Amino acid sequence: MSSRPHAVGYLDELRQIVPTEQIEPQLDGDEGGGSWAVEPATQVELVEVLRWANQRHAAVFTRHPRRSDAQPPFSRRPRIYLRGRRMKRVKDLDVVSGTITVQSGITMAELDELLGERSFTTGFPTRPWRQESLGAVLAAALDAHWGPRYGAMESEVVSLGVVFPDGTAAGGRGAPRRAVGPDFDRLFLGSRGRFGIIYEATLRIYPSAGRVALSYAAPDLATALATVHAGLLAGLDPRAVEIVTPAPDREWGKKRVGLTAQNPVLVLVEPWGPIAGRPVSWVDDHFAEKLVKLEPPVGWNVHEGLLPAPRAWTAPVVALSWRELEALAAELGGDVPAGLWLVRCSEHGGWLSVAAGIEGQAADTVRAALVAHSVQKPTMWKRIQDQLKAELDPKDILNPGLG
Amino acid sequence: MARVSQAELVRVLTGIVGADNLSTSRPDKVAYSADFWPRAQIWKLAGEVERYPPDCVVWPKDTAEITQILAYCHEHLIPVVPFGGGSGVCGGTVPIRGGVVIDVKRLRRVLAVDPVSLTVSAEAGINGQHIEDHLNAAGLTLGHFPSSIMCSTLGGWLAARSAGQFSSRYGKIEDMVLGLKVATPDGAVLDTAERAPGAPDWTQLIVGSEGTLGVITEAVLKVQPLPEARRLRAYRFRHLADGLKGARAVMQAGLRPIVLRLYDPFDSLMAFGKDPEQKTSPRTRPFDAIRSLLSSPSGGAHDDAPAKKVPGFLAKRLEPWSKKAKHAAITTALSAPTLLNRLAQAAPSPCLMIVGFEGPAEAIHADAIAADELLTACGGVDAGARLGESWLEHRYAVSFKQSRLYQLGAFVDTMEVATTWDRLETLYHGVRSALSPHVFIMAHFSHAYREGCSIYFTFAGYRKDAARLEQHYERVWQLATDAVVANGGTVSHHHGVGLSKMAAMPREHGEMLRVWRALKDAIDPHGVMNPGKLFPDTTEVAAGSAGGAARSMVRS
Ligand SMILES: Cc1cc2nc3c(=O)[nH]c(=O)nc-3n(C[C@H](O)[C@H](O)[C@H](O)COP(=O)(O)OP(=O)(O)OC[C@H]3O[C@@H](n4cnc5c(N)ncnc54)[C@H](O)[C@@H]3O)c2cc1C
Repeated sequence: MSSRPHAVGYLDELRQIVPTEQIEPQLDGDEGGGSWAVEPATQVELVEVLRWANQRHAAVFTRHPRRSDAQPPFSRRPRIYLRGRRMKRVKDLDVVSGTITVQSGITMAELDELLGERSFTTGFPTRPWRQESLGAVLAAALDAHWGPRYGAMESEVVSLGVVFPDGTAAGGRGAPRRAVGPDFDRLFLGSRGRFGIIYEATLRIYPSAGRVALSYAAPDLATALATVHAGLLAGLDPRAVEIVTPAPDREWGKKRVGLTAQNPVLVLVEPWGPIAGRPVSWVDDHFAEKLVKLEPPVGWNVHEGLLPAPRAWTAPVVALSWRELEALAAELGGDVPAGLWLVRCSEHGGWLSVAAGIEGQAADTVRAALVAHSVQKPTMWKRIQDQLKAELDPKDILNPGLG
Repeated sequence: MARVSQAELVRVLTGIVGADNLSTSRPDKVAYSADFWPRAQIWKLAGEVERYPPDCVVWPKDTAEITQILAYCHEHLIPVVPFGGGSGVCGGTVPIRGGVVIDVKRLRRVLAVDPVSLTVSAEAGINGQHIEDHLNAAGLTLGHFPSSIMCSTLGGWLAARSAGQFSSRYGKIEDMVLGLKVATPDGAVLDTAERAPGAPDWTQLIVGSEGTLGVITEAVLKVQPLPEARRLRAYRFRHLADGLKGARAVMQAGLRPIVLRLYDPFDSLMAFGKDPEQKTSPRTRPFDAIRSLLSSPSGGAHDDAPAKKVPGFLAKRLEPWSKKAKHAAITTALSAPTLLNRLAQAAPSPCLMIVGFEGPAEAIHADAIAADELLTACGGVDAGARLGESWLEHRYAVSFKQSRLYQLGAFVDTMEVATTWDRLETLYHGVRSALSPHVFIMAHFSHAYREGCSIYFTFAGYRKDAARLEQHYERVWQLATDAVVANGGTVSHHHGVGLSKMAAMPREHGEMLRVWRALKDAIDPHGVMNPGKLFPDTTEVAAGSAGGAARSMVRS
């Protein structure tokens, strides 16, 4: 039986929910139940699209179409590729509390610009993922290679608004802290759109006016780590610290910022700013005493230019404690691989990754450490995750095939 | 899945934990039938010493024994109530369906301390002060100092999302935890640190579950080096709004005080009374007696200034009075809460703020100067170090007995709510005006964060007989939580939900409760874990107990 008539009927039904210009038929949809990119413009439209998808047992993806989608098991199901780009309304910019509530379709670049105009910033680095939507970042990028600068990604989120697969919306404005049961938002952060669509988020924002980034060069990883660790323990309390070694194809950037063969490791520090009590000069004194100060300071945007393109970051990013980091540095000695990136350094450790495609013994050593400290095999949580999926999305409409 | 007899239950559990570690004695049943929830105190006033006794209490020694107990109870649909210190103030450990209370206090080892990465791993039953002592000996601190530190456990903190007095700097317990192990009813032990790529953050989905998903047996937490120095100071503000503005300015400048608390005019009046250098205003006197009576575990003192003894001058004046007359005065005052609240509001008092820093000496010196500049710019007047230091000194001087107000047939309770800065004052006034006609109420603002703060209300009410007192208590809570939700706050910042705030949960979470139901079905499909708590739709212990009048699947 040809499913073409179905597809036509489905399209008509979709048109009742969203205007035609918000529906873009996909080429591979002709053969199966139909395939469309759909751009809801409001929360109501999103809810209706999901209700429809649930009724029609459609497959709803929050990613780009793939050739394999037209093959079984999805080929006979109508397929929807949700695009959030029309949902980018700022619902509330609360400068008193330092939060923004914004729809999830806004791109990171747009959000950055919007906040920048008002002298605010999020805790997220924006350059590597400028064109990604906030929703995609929250739902999918937790285990990617860039962490928010000011805390864990989860801690930058005050609350979420989500739509469940059956079209029910949930979520609220949130509070600074709560003790009213588990934090249900965490089910959606980082789980790649398995359980619901994040349509809105309330994020912490920070004044950008007082931002200063200081940069230093270290001879090896051990020295860089020791200096950072000592600074944190001395109570320098910076907003962010990262350690970077430029990717091999970024020689020009390396020279530009002043890294040399003797001092190849970049240490970037962002103090809280002059009003935060501890003078910026303290931070500078501490780091400049042990490392080579880079003048002019590199700044976050340039440092991101030292890294390979986001596409190259396919290796996992793994949390390592200071003990583990120090053991790794000792093993590396003076040999530091290019493309190393340590983010979100705190008194307890940091998140480490090394770009894909870097060769050599040092890179292998780092990779071995990452493997040793990452969760590899399916854990006992897998059963629970599957059960949650079965209960919240019994028809498996949302990003099916994710496992 | 058949019902089991009491004798059979005892036989099987004795086989697991040993006869010495199981009890069915009446004193134990009474002791474990309630926590510090004020309502349980009202039951006692009405003569019900043990409204909800458990069938038995067990003290397992390790995770293996806990998993065996859980697996057995799961199979036989027997309710299980995890029990830490029993210091909860929301009825979280009340065994409303009977069953087995698992007291985890024998799981009390510190398993590892890593002074380089600044982490500690410990068993969940460890007493709060003991883990802190252990860390102090290694030059470290957890930085978690609830007033109940001496009578609560690590597991209880995690289960109820506890907050210590220094939460502005170190965060709440959920900010400190890196991972935990939880024994689930199917006999498994899950480790939340095993978060695979693309999986949700399991730790935060277990923290706060108040014993309704499993028994927390171990946790890994962040620790800090013991501070080199500490500094506390007090400030006075003419208006509450100025104080709040100052608090916000400090937090949003990136400063991280250990404590930043602001008392409303009436609460300040009481606090100023403690300052030996400060002349006590005559206007405070009528309230001192009430204040001293209010000091109880759930009556404000634990998250507040220390329980204050009736001052000498007042004691002298009261001496000649008969006990009866004193009580009559207090109950009459509490019977006219509107008047009492008006009087309190009219108190011509500035608002007192305590602010403190700890860490490397030089750093906190700089922090204190920066805070001073910000607070002064908002109208704050330096009131010296003494009040701050006195607060610190007395911060554990809480009463572990229930308030004496109960003896008069009254109740005292506390409600710790939170919201973002933009709504804080509205929330404060909203709750005050909702409750003022019904109870005597006072408040302070504590646990400040970048984007908001919590408000700690203390209220006292009175009715002539115990039955009406319980109704009154229920009504007051209903009005209070309604006012919180209506004004955009959360109904609990750190005491948790238990039984007391359960009715407000559908409004607090809305459709998000679906996640809860899914979690519960996945982890505790028979509904044996702490049934009837936290969220309303988990009240039934599996199908068999439907309509069950609070009794378990155990036949006596
Ligand atoms: C005098 C006094 C002062 C207080 N001050 C504070 C304060 O400053 N800050 C604050 O946050 N709270 C305070 N509280 C409230 C109380 O101490 C906290 O709620 C604390 O977290 C409870 O810990 P607990 O070990 O006593 O837990 P319990 O009361 O035994 O249990 C609380 C809840 O957690 C569950 N539970 C306990 N252990 C486990 C476990 N191992 N696994 C799974 N579930 C478990 C129980 O079933 C119950 O639902 C105070 C209470 C009193 C009496």
